[in-house]
Amino acid sequence: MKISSKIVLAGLCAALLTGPLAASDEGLSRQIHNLKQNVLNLNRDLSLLERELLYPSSESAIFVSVDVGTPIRLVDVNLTLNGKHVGYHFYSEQEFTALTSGGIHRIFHGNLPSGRHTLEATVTGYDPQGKDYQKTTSHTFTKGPGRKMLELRVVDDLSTMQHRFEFQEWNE
Amino acid sequence: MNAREENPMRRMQPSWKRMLRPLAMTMLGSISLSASASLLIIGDDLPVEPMPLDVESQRYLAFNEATFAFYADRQFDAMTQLLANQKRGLFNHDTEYAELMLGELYVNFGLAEQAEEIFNRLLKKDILAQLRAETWLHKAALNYRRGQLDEAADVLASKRTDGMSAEKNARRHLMLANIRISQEEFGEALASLHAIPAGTREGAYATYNMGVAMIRANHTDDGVRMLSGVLNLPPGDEENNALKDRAALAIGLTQLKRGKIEEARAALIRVRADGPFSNEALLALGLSNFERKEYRRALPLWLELVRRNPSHQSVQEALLLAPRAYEELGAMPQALAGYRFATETLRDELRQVELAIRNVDELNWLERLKSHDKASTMNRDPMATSGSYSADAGPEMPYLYRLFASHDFAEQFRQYMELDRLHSLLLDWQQSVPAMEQAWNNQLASLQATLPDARAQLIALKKQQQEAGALAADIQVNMPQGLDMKRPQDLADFEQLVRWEIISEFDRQTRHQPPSSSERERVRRVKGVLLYNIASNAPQNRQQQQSDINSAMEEIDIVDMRTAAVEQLIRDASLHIRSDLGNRLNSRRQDIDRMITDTEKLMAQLGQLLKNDALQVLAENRIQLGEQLAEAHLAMARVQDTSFSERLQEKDL
Repeated sequence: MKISSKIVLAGLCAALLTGPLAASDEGLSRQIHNLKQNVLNLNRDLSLLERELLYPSSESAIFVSVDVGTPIRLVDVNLTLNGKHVGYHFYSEQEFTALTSGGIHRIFHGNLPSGRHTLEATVTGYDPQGKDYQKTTSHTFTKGPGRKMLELRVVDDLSTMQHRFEFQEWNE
Repeated sequence: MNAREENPMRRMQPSWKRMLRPLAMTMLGSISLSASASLLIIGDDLPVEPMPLDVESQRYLAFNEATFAFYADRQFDAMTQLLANQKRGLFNHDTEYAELMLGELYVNFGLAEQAEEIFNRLLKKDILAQLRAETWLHKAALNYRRGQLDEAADVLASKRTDGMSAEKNARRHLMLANIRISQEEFGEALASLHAIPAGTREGAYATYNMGVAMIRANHTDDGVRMLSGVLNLPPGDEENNALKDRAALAIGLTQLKRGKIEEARAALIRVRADGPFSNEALLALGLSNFERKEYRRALPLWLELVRRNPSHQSVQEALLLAPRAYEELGAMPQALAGYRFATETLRDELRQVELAIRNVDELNWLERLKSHDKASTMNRDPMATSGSYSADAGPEMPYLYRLFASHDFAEQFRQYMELDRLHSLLLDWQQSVPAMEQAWNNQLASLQATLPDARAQLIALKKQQQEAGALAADIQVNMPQGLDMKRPQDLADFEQLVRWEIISEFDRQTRHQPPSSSERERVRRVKGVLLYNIASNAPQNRQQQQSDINSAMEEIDIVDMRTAAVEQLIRDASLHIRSDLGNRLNSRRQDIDRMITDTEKLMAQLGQLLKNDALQVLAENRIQLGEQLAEAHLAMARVQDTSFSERLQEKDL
């Protein structure tokens, strides 16, 4: 028997150097396309309806952001409002990348009574050397008749290579 | 676009992000630290003046929130947010940054027409040069996905895509290089490759693709040179090293086909022994030795291979090649044992393939794959990346590995998973909407019961609040600037005031007595002492009074604001109970039911296509294994026959 090395080789080459195997179906693609568009519209409308149902025009929200491209890793944020726990979020690697790419994360969304409130935020982070630390800050704000938006900016303190905080408020 | 200053800390944002200038921040106050080992307490509030929540601020918050979802692998969520804000009127055709992001998301979601509509609209507008270039890049990417390679190449090679960030420019040239490679225009592809930063993963992939394409187009020497460029990259992460292995294997196989055994061996030995291509490399290395009749050198390589997982095609080949090498060496008993081992192993594998075919043919095959995906990733966004499928997803997976690695099948499977997640989303809404309707009914009942009373109470409270405000304002306005002891009660503190009123009453009661009476004298003395005390404390008391009235005014302001907030809530509630939210929810419920049926139908069709592809691959494997098994049996017969003839010859001699 002559060994079939040419065939074996051809098989190996084919596996490595050839293109895709499966084919697509045009009619099915069009149906999928239409369905996706419909689900997208439905999801948008239901999200708006849900918001209309749950939050009156005086809703409040708290956002978290970090410096773009920061080397200081934000691990989690714990929020209390007037001494009551209202939000916690652990930031996965991907979510931290999203924050450092300029995204802001809505950590709290709800209806707050009008008047004075004290927000306390505890942040855990890793400095560029990988050492963990925790910092707490508090902020007093007043909620009026309109919507209230508050951004907690976790910014780099380059002197200590840890975080410091800035708050930005918006009133409607 | 407003005229806010750009925050320098945010300059690294993506272009559509940079288009929305971040709000200027004024940091007031300082931070004091009281440190312990790992717990640092930051001091007081940072006093920052609230800004008005105008349209630009709302856009800033809404767009950056969508950006977060975009980068956190929740692209469907990002798209929903952008569309919802578009419907609310926050984003429109003039918010180009949001338009561009939505266009990119449409491309990723496979809604090419909607994406193209956006890109065309943007390109007709007078927009920033960089944004225009990126829009062209997205449009070219869309053409590329649709297979309109000439249109895509036209855009990418023109000045229309000049002036983008380095990252986007690398993407542009990578796409252009891939198009040129597929068109076999290698010179132009090479020019594009030079524009991709050296040492990047994208550059390495493009070089590999180009090397393989050149070999396929019979430019073998140039192709091998390109692949050598990948092979000689410094060691990197697992993905880079796997690509280097792949390049080494491709060079080895090409040289082996050309009969350049030494060059083939030199490349093949650079494939890592524990890498994903080590089986193919061992097989090919063995073949390179076998071709040169160096059977003793081929044998250990194939013997190593036959100890590995027999579902791999290279291992199956080695099962037959190892005893063949024994034959060539004249070791017939070992050859016979090797063929026996091959028949047993191949028969077992055939059983495995039969089992795999049954598994794939079962109704729940895709269900099992889906559950594997759910276990490997917690992200339920319909556009989230699917988990990768390993052998533990079922006995068929080693055989389907190559099918899953093919672009078209992977794309179809991704679409199937996308539909599955949309289906889950619809099922969630199917459960949520009745709950929302119930919540709406509860709200309606509760608001209808409490609103009339609340309105009445609010009117009374507003009246009280106005009176209190007027009184406080009156006190504040009429408070004398000087310390006038003509009205000592105005300068007394509360305790002194009580005493003053008691003494004044005594004074009144004793007024009818003669002035020399002892009682009147005593009252006069006590009054004198009290007046002295009031006068002594007057400056502090007046200061306290001013501070008290200021606090009262502040409290009244807060009460005023709270009254306005309650008024707003009552107004909202009044509008709320008059809205047709209930009807809208109900109509959406019917839409959901219809879409669930549509999704299930499409999933069944797409699933059947996937199954057919998988079954075809498995059937081909079954045929191949059958042929190898037959070959092993024939080889056994041949070896036994040869041994028998040799023994006869020895006897005759």
